[in-house]
Amino acid sequence: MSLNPYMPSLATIIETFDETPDIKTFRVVLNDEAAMRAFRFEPGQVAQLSVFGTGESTFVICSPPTRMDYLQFSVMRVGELTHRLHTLREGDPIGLRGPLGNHFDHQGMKGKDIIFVGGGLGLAPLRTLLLYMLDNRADYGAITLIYGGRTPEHLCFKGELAEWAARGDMRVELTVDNPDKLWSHRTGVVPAVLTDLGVSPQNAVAVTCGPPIMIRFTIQALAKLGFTDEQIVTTLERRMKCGVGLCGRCNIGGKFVCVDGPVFTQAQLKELPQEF
Amino acid sequence: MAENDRMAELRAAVLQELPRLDFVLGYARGFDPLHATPITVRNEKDAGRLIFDPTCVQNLATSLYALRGKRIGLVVKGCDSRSVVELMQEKLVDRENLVIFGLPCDGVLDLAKVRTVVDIARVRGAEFTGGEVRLLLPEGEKVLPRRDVLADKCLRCRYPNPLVADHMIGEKIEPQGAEDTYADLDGFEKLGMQERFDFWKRQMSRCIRCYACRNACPLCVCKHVCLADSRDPHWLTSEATLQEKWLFQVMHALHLAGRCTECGECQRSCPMGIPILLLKRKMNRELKEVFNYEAGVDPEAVPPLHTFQMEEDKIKDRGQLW
Amino acid sequence: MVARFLATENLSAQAAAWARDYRLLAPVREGQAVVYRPWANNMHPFLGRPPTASPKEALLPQTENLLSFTYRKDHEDLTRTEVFLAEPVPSEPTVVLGLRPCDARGRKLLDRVFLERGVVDPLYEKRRKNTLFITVACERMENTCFCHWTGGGPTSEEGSDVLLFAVAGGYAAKALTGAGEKLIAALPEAGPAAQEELAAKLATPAEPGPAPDLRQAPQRFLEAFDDMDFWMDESARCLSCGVCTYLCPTCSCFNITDENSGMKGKRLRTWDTCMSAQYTLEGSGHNPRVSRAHRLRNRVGHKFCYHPREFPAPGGEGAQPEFSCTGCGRCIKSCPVSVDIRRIVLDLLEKGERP
Repeated sequence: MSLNPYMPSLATIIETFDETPDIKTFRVVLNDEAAMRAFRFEPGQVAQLSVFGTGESTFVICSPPTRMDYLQFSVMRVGELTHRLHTLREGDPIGLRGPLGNHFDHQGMKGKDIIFVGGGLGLAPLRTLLLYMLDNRADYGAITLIYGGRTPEHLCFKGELAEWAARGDMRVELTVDNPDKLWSHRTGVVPAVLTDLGVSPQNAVAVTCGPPIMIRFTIQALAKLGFTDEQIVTTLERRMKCGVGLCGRCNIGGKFVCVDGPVFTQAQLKELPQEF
Repeated sequence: MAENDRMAELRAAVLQELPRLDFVLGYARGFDPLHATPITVRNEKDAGRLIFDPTCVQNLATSLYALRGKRIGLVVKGCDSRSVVELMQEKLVDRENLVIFGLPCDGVLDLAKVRTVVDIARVRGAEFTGGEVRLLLPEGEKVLPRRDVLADKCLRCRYPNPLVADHMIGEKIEPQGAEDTYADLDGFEKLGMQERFDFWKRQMSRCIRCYACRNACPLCVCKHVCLADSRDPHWLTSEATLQEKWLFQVMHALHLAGRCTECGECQRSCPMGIPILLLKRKMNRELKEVFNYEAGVDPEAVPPLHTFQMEEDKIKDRGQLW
Repeated sequence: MVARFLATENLSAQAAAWARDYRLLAPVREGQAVVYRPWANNMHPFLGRPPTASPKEALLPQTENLLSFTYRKDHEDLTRTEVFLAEPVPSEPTVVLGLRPCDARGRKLLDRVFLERGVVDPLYEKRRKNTLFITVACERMENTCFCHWTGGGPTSEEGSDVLLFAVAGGYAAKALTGAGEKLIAALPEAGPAAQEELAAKLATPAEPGPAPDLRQAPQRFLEAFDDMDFWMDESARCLSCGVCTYLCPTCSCFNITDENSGMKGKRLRTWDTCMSAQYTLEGSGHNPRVSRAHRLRNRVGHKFCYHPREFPAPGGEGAQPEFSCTGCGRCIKSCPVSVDIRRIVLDLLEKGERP
């Protein structure tokens, strides 16, 4: 009999802290040490986190495979499962099924300039690829991160943003819609900042994730700057349940976001029936 | 009025109103002569498809709440019009944005009854004349007395003429009776408690939790945000067990108490033929006895469970206030 | 394989014999419905009409346990809680009696999802290996039947272990698999009269009328995808209930939810319907299929476009596509508002013909 694909592995939360008023980061380790050592995944893949008794939801693994002390997930509190997840503390048990889905084509991005464009919690899937690239710095060209949120409070990974800006080998441009008195960076929506900066599509790939509206305008802005559909990469969200292409729920046309995604190029998205 | 004239009048009225409306909801022929299907009429070609005969069983008022904000027209029978009136009583429909085409109705078919006499899957044609239903089958014609195949609700119908209408199309019809004696409930209540429980266990075991009953109900405006689906509070589990299925029906009947107009769509929609209308009729009989109230008859009336009186005639509170 | 004979008067006794070795699901009449019930003595199986629901419950139960969990406090450190997981209990061998060829064909379409798409579902796999179908061939076609539009037919052998043909005095039973042979091994051989009747039935099956050419359906669907007026009109009557999906032999979408009692609980798989408004509702509140038009479009698309493209039929362009539909017609006859999926597919084809 085949393995039960619905059976999660048991894991424990080893660390949890707030990123913003409604986003928490969880660092998780599989209880089976051998399984943890053997866990392999690619940047962009997701996992289903279980709180037994409440349910399961899909989250991107936002730590990179080059840093395997733990698996990191950053979760916004929006519904039943995430509310319950936010009440868990260090030492609490959790279930994990993964890795699921496809991943960023970091092989194909080698030697190119990478433009990360993120908004709010959209930085989470970008983080895994960004850190992977920083850990393999020589393989990639210029790295730029354009990241924004509604207010300074709504930015994720705040400590790391400062670290990344201080590095000499990547460029960080931060922006918020509504600055406070202490804000010293840009003001404005992310797509507008992108346009202002006028990034070049020459030998470049843009990877974007954020609220649907931001993604839409970012893709438009990238197209105006000359990026082709193959040069624009994003991740999709859908209500998911089984995560392995059986329950039928997350389809867009004949593709399943849990198996054929969540990473898609704009070229791939254009081929799908347009139901977003 | 001859049927053709009546349909011509309906189409003319619909076309006359269409310019002011987003669309009109009416009946068209379905996949065979015994089935009608609701259609949206937006133009003359659509209007040409309109029919009205004893196959027009659906209650088109079920769409009304979801369509609020739109200007629409609606074709209603007498029983359907009571649903519209109840929605008006509860301020769930905006009468100004609604044009009602009322069709006095002398009964619709209960296909389950027809099926006991003919194989309905092979009917080629159907004619409804006077007191007869003439069905054309491969082997020839079969004539059935109308009363034998009408829905139970039609045999006791007291409101054959729509209670609200902007256009009344067709001649008024005499009601079947002056009062509902709830004879079907009497029959059921002759059974002992255990027998009644066994009856419902057997019936509900066929339920597939499709929620056709809920979605077909015009007064069930919660539809997809129904408590039955809620995870918080968590009333029902998702298990397909007797307990969950029965609890939903009880919730449904209680939530409809004082609101159900007995259009019967819940029961008719059930693919497994479960007689759930009995539960609502039981509630309605109690409401008639205690509050002397009938839902969906007077647009100004306040449903008794939406208000309270300090002293109720028929509720003995043993004289203890506070 | 020689045909065997099951006398009508012997049907209950034979069913009881099967029920000793298997969980036997047999159809009985209850009011206007024909439902499968686990065999009990004094049951009268009714084989005269297709059962109201498909037999997919035997392969994919409406509610099924995926795993059980128990929380326990760590006695050494009461601030810590541990959770223990358990696999579900396996299913028992089952025989389904009284389904129709359209139902049996549905089994293959469920296999596509649960065995062939990618990850194998072990719960389905086990049930599938353990379930046998004794199918009744159809004498006549109802006005909602369209099995022959989708590559099936009233006497199709696909998916069945035994096929029963009504003959004088009972049924001629034809075994189609080794397991089927074993099931009917105890029956007497069919006599010459029955054999003749059987041969005659096989030679002239019920023929309801020509089937339209649906080979362009996947393409026409994609062409009409963005025509929301078309989909709004087709879906105007839909109640967004689950009748069509739950009665369908090939629909398999499911939900996963946790249900608790105290420190223990289960993770359940239950049937879900793509017609429900909440089906694709995301935590953020965004719903890609917010209207009935979107949802009906997806249902028709899945059955007549996405599935044939995911599982192309051998034979290339000119071949009959494999639709995720066996033409059983339940969605038509049980739909409270008479949505007719045949009409929608034909409308798509007609639309494509008009420039």
